[in-house]
Amino acid sequence: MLSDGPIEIIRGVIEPYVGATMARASTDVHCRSLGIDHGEVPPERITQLIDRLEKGLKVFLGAEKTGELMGEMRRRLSDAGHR
Amino acid sequence: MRQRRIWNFLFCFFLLLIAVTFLPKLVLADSPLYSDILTLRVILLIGSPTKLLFLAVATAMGWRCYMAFERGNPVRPAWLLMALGTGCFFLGQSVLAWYQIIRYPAPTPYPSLGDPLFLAGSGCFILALGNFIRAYGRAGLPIGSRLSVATVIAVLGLILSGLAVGVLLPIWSGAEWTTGTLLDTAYVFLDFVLLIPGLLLVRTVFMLRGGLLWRVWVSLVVGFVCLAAGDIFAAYFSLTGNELLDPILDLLFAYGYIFIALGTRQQALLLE
Repeated sequence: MLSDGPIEIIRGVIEPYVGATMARASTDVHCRSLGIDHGEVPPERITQLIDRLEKGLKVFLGAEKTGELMGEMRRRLSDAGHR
Repeated sequence: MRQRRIWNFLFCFFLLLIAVTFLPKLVLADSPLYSDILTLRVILLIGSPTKLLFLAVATAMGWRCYMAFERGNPVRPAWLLMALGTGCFFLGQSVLAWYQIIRYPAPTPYPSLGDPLFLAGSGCFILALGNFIRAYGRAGLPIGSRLSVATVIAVLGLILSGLAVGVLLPIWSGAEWTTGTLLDTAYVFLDFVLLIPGLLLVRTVFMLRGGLLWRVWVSLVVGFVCLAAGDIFAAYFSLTGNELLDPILDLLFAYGYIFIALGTRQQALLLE
């Protein structure tokens, strides 16, 4: 059973660091370029979206911290039944 | 957690100390407060070590950020330039501190050995902020298209050039061209150039509001704006000989260093 949309979960993980506006703007930009709309999202698209966000976050948080954050994101997505 | 509280207390304490030391002087310069208690000697003993302390903190934290970002990360060189910039300012400020504390009451010469270091530091800051913008843009952050960034740079460049000429004309007109005039011109020019990437970053910073990175970048941008404003006012006041406004300069420089130290420390904490 899906508890929350994957995009909302992804935003929820990065929001404490980049704020609500940047979290929304970043996911919107990448979703548009990946052809994701906010309904059903195929798992491979989620992976691509996470990869793109990871690249952006690395310039703020470095590879190590970003890696931890992405791990947390994948865990939450998995727990919510999206992967 | 305890260490963070101590640091936060220190930042707040010094921001308050600088404000209560320098601001009343604007209206109470001739009062006993400044002739008997906060004498020039006391003011120098508060201001100079405070600036050195926070420049040292900013250099150490900037270096920590540089080391924490992995090789190949596009912001790594920007943090190195930040550490070099604050390091140059620290050395420049040390030269001034030598005159202000050790050689007191001998006047601090202008120009001094500190000036080339301050100029080099300003150059590092301009390169650092330019590097941050390029790195954030390449990482896919929504900072605007190349065209919109170029337009903003052109418009800001025009506005700031007009302001720079407005400040520089009185410095140039009628004045004999000395090393001091050249230095005033260089400081004003570099600071207006520094304001361009600084103001460009405001757009990105505004989008980060509410997040932990917002605190980092608000502190850094406020710090750079204080430094630029301090240099520009210093050049202008030195021409007009308006010493009554000197407390504003001391406050702007000290706040610039404190806010840059605060921002670099917050970034370093995020990387832990």
